[in-house]
Amino acid sequence: MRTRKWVGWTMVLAAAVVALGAPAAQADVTSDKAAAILVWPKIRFVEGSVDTIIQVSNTSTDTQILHCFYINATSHCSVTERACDTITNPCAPSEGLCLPGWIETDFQVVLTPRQPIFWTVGDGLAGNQLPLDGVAFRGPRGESNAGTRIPPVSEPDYVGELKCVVVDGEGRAVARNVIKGEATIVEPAVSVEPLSVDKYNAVGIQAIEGDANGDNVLVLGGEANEYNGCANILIADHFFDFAANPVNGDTIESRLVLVPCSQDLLNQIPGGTTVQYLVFNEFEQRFSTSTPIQCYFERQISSIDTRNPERSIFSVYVSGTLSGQTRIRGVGQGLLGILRTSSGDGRVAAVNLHMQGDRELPDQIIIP
Amino acid sequence: MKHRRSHWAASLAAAAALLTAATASADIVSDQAAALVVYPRVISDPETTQETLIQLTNTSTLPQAAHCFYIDSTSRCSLDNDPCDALEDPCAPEQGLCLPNWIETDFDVVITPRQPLAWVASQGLAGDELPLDGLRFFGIGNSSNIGTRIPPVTQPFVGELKCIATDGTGRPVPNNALIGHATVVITTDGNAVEKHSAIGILAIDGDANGDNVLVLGGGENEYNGCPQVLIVNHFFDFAVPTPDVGEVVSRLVLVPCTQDMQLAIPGRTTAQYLVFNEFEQRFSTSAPVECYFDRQLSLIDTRDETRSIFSAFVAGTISGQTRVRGVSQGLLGVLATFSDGGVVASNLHFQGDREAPDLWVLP
Repeated sequence: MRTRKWVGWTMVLAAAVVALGAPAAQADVTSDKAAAILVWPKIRFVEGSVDTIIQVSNTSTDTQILHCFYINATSHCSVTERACDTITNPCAPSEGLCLPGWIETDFQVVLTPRQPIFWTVGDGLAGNQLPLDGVAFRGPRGESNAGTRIPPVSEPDYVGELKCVVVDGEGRAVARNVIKGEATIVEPAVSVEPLSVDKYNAVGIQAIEGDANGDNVLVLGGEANEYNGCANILIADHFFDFAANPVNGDTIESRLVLVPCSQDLLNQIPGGTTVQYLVFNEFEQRFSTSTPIQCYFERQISSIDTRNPERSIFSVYVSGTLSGQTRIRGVGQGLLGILRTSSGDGRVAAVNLHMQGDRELPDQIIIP
Repeated sequence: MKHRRSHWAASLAAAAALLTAATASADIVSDQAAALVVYPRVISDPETTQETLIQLTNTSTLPQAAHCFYIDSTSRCSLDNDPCDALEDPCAPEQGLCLPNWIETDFDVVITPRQPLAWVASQGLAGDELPLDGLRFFGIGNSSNIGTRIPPVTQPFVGELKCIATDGTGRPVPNNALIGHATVVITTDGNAVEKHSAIGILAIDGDANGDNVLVLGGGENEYNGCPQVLIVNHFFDFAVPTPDVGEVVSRLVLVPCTQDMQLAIPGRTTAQYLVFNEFEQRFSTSAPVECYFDRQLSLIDTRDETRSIFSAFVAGTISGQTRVRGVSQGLLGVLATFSDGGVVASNLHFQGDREAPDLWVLP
């Protein structure tokens, strides 16, 4: 009698400890803490003019290996193969149709303890460009960047994203929340000055147990406890397009960049979902729209819901106020993104979107 | 037997309580809604043609009041009151000494459900400039911005803005509903624009004891604590990351987490800097932070910027990782980077929990 009762309570107590203490996946996608997966939603390169500087740092005191993926989302005209965009740079009739593209190129980066590195996507980083090449230069304990070879992006007119996953020596994703990153996009301004520079933080997805089952399917959110999940809602605090900047009177325009959380990099199947937008102006009036996104989405906000931007719910002529709050939700898959705002002469400022809530269903990144 | 059963029940209850109790953590965020928001870099200066556009948004479906504080940290010459900086823009002998300054001005904002608000720091927002003035214009459910009066800042102004979610009577409440951004426009530099997100401090129980002392971190469970370490990914000063960008110079802005706004006692601490270059070589320095810190990186540790550990001439590489730690108080901040392409602002990364709490003492 005594033994049975003792075992019973012990089991209950132990179960309670396990149940209440187990970490649960949450929407801890972050742009201000080190993480195990980093996503840079916008990479841009145009030979001779636009380039993107990538910074990544190892915040830990151990060497870290990253498995990184450039995801080329450049569309091409079906006949001439020229880079195109269905709205801003469509193909002429003789050039064919503007077909979306999605190709991943992966590579490895080895970072020594506390090491920061950077590279431009147009040039990459390899060989004797590495700070600690392992031949002439090593760190204090003999560590080096040997094994790192970052290729230049694969096209002279390139748009896409970059993802990096912390892995162990065998390429298996591990639960080490140790990397942080930024991207600085350098491009010609429209007038006056030759250059515009804008910068955003890479979005980090923190690991719980990482790819503990070693199946190369990184589950974000849900019950698997591998990685935290993507946010249910992205919040963009923005100015409506064509509003006058109250400081200098310049016209403001914004571009929204979104990438799906789910991606099959093994079978080259991009993520895609319908995106719902709830737009609130300063009068607390609400508008809404939705659009599909496939693999990569970049659009001036007043071109999201219409081909006539002045009639868009994102334009000041329709919304009627200077600033707005837009709540963005991916129906079938989670989303990550940034907002880039320009005014007047084309100078651009980028900001990370705010994130809210947990998605019920997990997202997945399948890595080769 | 009965005694033993109750002993186990008590143990079970204690275990459950321990495991479910919310604990303060370094959940400082720049990408989630929070109950406290801090804008570390607010500038309004007609002489340098810098102006700041503030955005404050209510992400909840209920009206949200906020009590806000402009903190003017503009140093001024003792004789003629001209703005100055002891290191970068000192007073001439006839102007006297460059004296630090710390004055808070507080005001109320009432934001209706899901409403975004924006204002220019030098203009403020009041009266019929309010979108829903409560006289002619109302929101859904008769909500309005009545009660809002945002004053213009004095000029020149260099300082910060803090907003606290309140219940309308001025009592802080644990409503994690506010997000914000600050856009600094520099009109002399071809309209250079930099934008950063306001830093959010998530509430747990808020000011539950109603003593107007907001405890950040520690064991009080009022608000989450400031981080142990701020991580800055930067280019060393005078480095040239690409020929197009040209030479880069950065400014680090830090504000202490602890502030007594009732007695106008600014926070102060020593900031320790651990600097790593791409060769994994480490440098360190420390500097005091008194109420507000806005300094070119390569002037943090020296008056000769070319000899600074933050300059590319000393560090020897283009990029660096600097870990910043406040010794006795937490710190928050942003980084502004200047180049041929203008200026960009970026939010810092956060890591770890501070042992000792920080305090906001409200008037």
